[in-house]
Formats: sequence, C-alpha cells, structure tokens
Amino acid sequence: MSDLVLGIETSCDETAAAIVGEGSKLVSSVVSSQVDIHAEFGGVVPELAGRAHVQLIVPVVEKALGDAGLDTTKPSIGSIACTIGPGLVGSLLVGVSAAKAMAYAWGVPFIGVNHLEAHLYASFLADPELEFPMMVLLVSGGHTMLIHAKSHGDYVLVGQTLDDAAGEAFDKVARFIGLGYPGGPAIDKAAQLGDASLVRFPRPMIDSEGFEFSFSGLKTSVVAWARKHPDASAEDISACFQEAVVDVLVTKAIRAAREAGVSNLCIGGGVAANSALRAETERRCAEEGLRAFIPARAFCTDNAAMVAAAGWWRMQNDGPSVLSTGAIPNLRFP
Amino acid sequence: MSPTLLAIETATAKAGVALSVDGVVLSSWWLAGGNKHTESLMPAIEFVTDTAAVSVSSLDAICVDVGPGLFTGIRVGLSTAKGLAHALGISLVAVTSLEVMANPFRNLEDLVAVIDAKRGEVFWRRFSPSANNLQSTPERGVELGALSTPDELADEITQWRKEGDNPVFVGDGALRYQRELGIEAGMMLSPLFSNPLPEHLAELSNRAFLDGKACSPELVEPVYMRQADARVNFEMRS
Ligand SMILES: [Zn+2]
Repeated sequence: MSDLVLGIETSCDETAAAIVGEGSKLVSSVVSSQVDIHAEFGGVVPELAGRAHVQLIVPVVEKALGDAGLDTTKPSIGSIACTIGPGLVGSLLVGVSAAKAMAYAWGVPFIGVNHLEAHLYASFLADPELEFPMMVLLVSGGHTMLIHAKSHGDYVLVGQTLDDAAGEAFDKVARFIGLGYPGGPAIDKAAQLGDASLVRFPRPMIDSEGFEFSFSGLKTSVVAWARKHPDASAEDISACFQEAVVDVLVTKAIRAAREAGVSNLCIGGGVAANSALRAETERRCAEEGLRAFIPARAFCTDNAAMVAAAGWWRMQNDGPSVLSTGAIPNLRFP
Repeated sequence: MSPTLLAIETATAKAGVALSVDGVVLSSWWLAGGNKHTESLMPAIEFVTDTAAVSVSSLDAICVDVGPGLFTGIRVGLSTAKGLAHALGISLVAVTSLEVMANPFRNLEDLVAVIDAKRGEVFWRRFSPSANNLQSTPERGVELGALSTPDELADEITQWRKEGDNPVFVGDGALRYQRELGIEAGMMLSPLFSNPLPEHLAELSNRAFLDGKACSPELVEPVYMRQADARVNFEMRS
C-alpha cells in the first residue's frame, strides 16, 4: 500500500489538493485561490465560494496528481484525506463529496480531517523531526487559540479569543483605513513602510491571568485614534496596530509554553503568514530558549498539504472514516 | 451498445440513486427527504451498485441532474458525480431537473414542469411533443427552464389558454401554487411525480448517452438560474 496521501481542502475560499508522503514529505501542493472573486465584496461570499469549488475541484486534484508525477486517473495513492469542518457548509460539502467519491472509485480509505488540526500539522511539513509536546498558536480569520498538543490527537485548549479573531481584527482595521481586502496581507505590506513607534495602542489582556485573547477593543481603539488623527498614514497605523496584535500573541504564547513546560512553540493559520508575527516569534523564542516552528507562508494559509499530513496521522491512530461522513460546519477543536 | 449507467439525483429534497443497464433500472434507492445529501449519497451509491452486482469499474458514464433546484443538493450530486467520473476515467451525462420530471410524460400533448424554487419563486419549463422526444417551446421558456414568481407564471398560463392551449402540470411547484396558478385538479399529475426521480434520470440519460451527449466531467456546471446571495461571511475566513 502506498504511503502517499491525497489531501483535499475546500472549507472556505481556497480550492486545494496536495500529495504528501508519510505525513510530512511534501510531493505536490496546488492551491487555487478565489480571492479575486470575493475582493469586490470585501469578504468571502459563501454562495460564490461554493460555486467556484464545484468548478475547480477536479482540475485542482488532477494538477496535484500530475505535479506529483502520478497517473491522474489511476494514481498509486494510499488514502484520501479531506477537511470536513469547521468552515462554510456549501464549500465543505464539495470537497467531502468529491473526496468520498474518488476514494470509493479508487478503492482507498477516506479520512475526514478537522481543518484546525490540519493547521497544526503544517508544522510537520516544515520540520518532520518536530516532536510532541508543543504549544501551538493558531491564528486565522476565524480563530485565535493556544493549544497544548501533547501527542497526535491529544490536545488541550489553553485559551482562545473572547470576541474577534486576530485575522478578523486585521480585516476590519484594513477596511477602516482604506487598505481593502484581504486585510492581513495589506496591513503586513503597509506596516513595513510605517513607523511602529508613532502611537502605542493597548495590548488587550496581555497581563491578565489565563490565556484568553480579546481584539475587539483594540480594533475600536485603532478606529477612534485614526478618527482623531486624520493625517496619520495608513502605513503608520498599520505598523502600530500590527505591533500591538503581535506583541499580545507572542507574549501569551511564550508564557503558555513556559507554564505547560514545553520547549516547542509552533504557529499556524493564515495570520501566521504575517511577517511581524513570524519575526517576533523567532526572536522571542530564541531569547527564551524555546524552539520555534514556523511553517512556510504557503502552509500557514489554507492548503491541502496540511490536510494530507493530518490525515496520515488520523489514519494511523483512528483508521478511516465511513462513507456516510458529512460536512460539519461548526466542528469543534480540540 | 448496452450502457451501464449510474444516475445521481439530488436536485430536490427527494434525492436518490439508480443503476441502469441498457435503459433498464436494476436497482434504485431514495432519500425520503431532508437535508442529508452529503451523508447519504455515497452509501446509497454503494448500495445500488452492490444490489445490482455491478462493479463501479464497469460503469460507462455517471448521469447527474444539474438543476435547477436546491443549490446545496446540486453541489453534492455534481461534486460526487465529477469525483466518480474523474476517478473512473469515464464521462458525465448532464440533464436538467425539469427534463427529468417531464420524461415519463413525454407522450403528453402539452406539459409544464414546475419546481418549487423557494423564496416565493418557481423554476418551470413547458414541453410540447415532437416525435418521441421532448423539446422545449422556445417562444415560451428557455431551454434550461425559467425562474418566475407564481404570478408571472399565472400570466403566461392565461396567455396560453387565450391561444386555446390547456397544458397539464407536474411538480412540487405546481402543487404548492396550484390555486395561484389556476390549475384545475384534473390538469395536475400525481404528487408521486412531483420531484425528479433517479429512475427517470437514468432512463432519460440512457437516451442522451446513446445520442452521444456524454462529456468530460470538468465541462459540466450546475444550472443555478439565480444570482448568488452576496452576504459576506467574515467568521470563517482564514
Ligand atoms: Zn484555515
């Protein structure tokens, strides 16, 4: 039996497929982004996302197989892993339906994967030697959480956001200061030209006990400050806002790692593609004597390689999923 | 040639699967209704192929109803059909929901198929006879069907009657809006045929397949007939 896993990801606005060997060896990865489709609406339009996935699913899988040098209609793969949630239901069910159909037709196991667990496995693509236990900072447009990963499948939620996700704050601030959508990359780019010392925005809950986050107040502060200072540049505001977010995230992640007594700190999720978060994680981990695991940008944002990696370990631990597996838009993690 | 076909019907709440050889349905399976298309479809496919003792590798094509109908159902059916067709290296036969519903009644003089499109609208198409085949009446409806309010369709019906035509109606949309559309009881076909059914899809697809209407899976697209709701979702973005 081949140890290659075909991963499929359609939980939001990326149609993706990838081939990964033994849970960490990247063979091919294809991501077809729909960002242009949604940009004019300033956010993801669920119905448009679902429509695009139906068009893209077969060509994207074909390309991932082709790029891996596999026969596209009779590939020697061992299993198919697909995100079953959380995400947009109309998007998830395209991947789940196509993945189950192909698994049945090819006679290989189907493995349902939790999208958030998959983000965690992006770190294994960066470094197969990565070992449990570790602290994982998972930051995206929908989630901001700290997870103590003790071993494969054994996770403890250490803390999460009480209101907005970090990525959501990026989107909202970007929209307010006229940087458009998607907000994360726009703020990252603008901040590189800005002066982060212009104003010190609040660091919500940075010193609070526990590991909860809150970004809605910070967003409000930024908006209020920008209204009072109409001459301030989008670059400077971006730099100051981004610094505040990154400071909170990294400070709490490191404290969580310390308290849990683990020496590995991983970051994952779309916001982990942010330059400042990557640099600051690297710097503070080095200072604190922790090992930082920072996946390549392409494996922080949604992709199918992480799904294939997570699927491989799911298969080792729990075996395959049944063909009656559905899409679960509010699937919980851990 | 005696094609072996797998028909996937998910365009309305009454989803189902049928397996046919040479136009004869060997096994079929229905979902009574509800919203479990994603969960039920693959086990149903496994069931009908097992029951008919047909291996998926001997299928000649996958047949699928591309709508109009429920967006979610159509996406589940088409994604499954594309996945199977691609993986088996075979082609797809795509037909529309209104044709499937009209198919058993193709010898009727004048038939209108009406599907409840929800939100106070209906998908409909008028069929008139031509040889033993169904053809649309282009001056009245587009080939894939039309999307109208019941009032708009009622106006059409009034016009047809003025011209001396008195069509028969079928479909859950015709049933639901029977009063608004002014359809007499005698002109309404049985509620048993109110949804497109997998057996009828299989039979219609068999003829389409023999007519050379199968195509490559990536070329097939759903028939939505309605613009996407541009309601933005920030919560799930990563
Ligand atoms: Zn994600």
